[in-house]
Amino acid sequence: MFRNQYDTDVTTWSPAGRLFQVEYAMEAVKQGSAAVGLRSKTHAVLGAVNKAASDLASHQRKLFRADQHVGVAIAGLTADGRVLSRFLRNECINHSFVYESPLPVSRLVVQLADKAQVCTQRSWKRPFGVGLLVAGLDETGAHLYYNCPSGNYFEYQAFAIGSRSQAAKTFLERRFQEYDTYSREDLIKDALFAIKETLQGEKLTAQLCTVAIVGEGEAFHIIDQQTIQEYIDAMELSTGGPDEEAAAAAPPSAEAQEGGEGASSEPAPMDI
Amino acid sequence: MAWPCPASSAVQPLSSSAPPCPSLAPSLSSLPKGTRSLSLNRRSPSPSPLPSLRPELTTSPSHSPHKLHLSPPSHPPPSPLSPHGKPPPPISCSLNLTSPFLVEKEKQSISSKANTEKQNPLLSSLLLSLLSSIKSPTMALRGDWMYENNGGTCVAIAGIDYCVVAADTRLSVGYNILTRDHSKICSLADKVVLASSGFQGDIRALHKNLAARHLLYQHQHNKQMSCPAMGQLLSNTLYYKRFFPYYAFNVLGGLDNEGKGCVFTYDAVGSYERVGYSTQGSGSSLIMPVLDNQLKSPSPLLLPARDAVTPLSETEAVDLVKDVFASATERDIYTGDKLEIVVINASGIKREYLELRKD
Repeated sequence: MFRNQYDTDVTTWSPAGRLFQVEYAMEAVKQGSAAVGLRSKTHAVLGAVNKAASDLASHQRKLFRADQHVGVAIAGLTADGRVLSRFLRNECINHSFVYESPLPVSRLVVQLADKAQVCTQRSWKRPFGVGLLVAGLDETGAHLYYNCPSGNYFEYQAFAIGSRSQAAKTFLERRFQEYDTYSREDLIKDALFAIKETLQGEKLTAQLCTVAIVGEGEAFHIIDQQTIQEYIDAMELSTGGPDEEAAAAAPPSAEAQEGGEGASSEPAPMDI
Repeated sequence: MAWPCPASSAVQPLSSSAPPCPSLAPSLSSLPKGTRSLSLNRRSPSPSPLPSLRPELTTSPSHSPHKLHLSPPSHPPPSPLSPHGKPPPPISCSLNLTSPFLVEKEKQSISSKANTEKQNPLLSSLLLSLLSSIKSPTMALRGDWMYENNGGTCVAIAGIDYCVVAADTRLSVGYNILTRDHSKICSLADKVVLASSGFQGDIRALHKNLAARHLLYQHQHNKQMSCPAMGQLLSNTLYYKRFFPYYAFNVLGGLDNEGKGCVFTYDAVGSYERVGYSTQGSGSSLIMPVLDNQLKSPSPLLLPARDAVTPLSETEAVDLVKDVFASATERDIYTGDKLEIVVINASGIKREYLELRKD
């Protein structure tokens, strides 16, 4: 009831001590399609669901490389996410230009969080409507951070954001204790499992998701669709029955999805 | 059509049976193992060029065959553009081909400024006068003199489907050697390589600048920069500091969008041109005439303008580069120690090293 009086301006507090505009911005993150992240001591994996607005459209890019050693997955307002990715790239380039060494991930997320905080304290601005999962590798190992529109950031072993991410989070909560020692392949498989949880019944194919990895001896890169499909096939073989039944129940929707996606498997040229 | 050069029928051709100048012979035998022998007599003479451009060539039977230019020794070697200070015969294009900025040679006297000014209308005379007195005692001892010449020579040759970029690895200041193992070559993109000589501080900054700009380009356009694009970027970067220049003399080499070899040559403030081959640095005036003579490229003075890539094969071009550096090492004190050769072709970038004389 009181919410509506104090939510016009980001610079207006509510009597309970909340900034509603900032909280509304966090709601925007929940509207975007899901993104998951998990890390071990040496590798960090990001995954995202390729949700297209309609069957006619191509999906929007959700995974961006900021530097050789850092990448982000976004959920929410893609435009805000693109702008922030450009900011991250610039910061990484500036740091390595001046210091001839890669920007540590923890410093990068602090700079990003400070930038987000500015928008929560200016009456002529609005908060960014995008949540970022920042995965990177530096001297202290692999890291995964989540940056909120509020300007807060948290480090995670594994996390999921976006719509229907609770299912993925439940799955990750069961498994995250062993992630530190997981191999690279197991991390990717778990990321795909987590993405599958958010799909809730739809058959997982390589066209429906994007996965990227960064780790020791491996620069940040998006894994190609063929390799992802092989991982998915291996997963389905090992889990067997339940997946196949679910797949049999939903072939029409999967085919329609694939028909729409096949024509646009290449990312738009302006994105990276 | 060969370069209009001294190897015309009126002068003894390079492959004459006369022995090389005796003062050169002892140094030939004392070359370290692995150094290519000076092979001035190796190649056949080029076919006769346009005789009308060089009337003075008919009067010189007494010159030793190894001398490639005929002006009196005190003058700097004349470029084909302005032999003995006279303007060239009426051809409408006014190409500025050889390295316009020869003043990095310490041996050059201040009186040669007049010659260089004629060849370099692009540079302001103020800049020239400052930089031509670069090593006079008063300038070098000033507390606020911001430049230093670290010497070295760079060469780039474009072929039909390859490009060779080479530079020596000696870093010097004055009469001292700072290091024998410093690379002047920067690999900017998978088809673009930049070699620069001059002031090492500015060179390092320039290379970093371009590498960062290339990274931004890749983020924005999702692909690598092409050689012509990098050529323009380098020119703009240099001109951006028109009034406090990068003391860097650059040759940019790579493959263009069609896979052909591509070389761009620059002066210190960004004037650039696509050429078939070029050299910059302290030994450039020793090397350029030999390249003019040996590369069999079409003459840039001809009209219509022709593609100046050399018809030589990749191995022949690399051999020529090795020969030419070995010769330049003999005479230029700032060139030597080691030669770094980078070859760019369709299969990527390959690096090779060759030991040069260390004195």
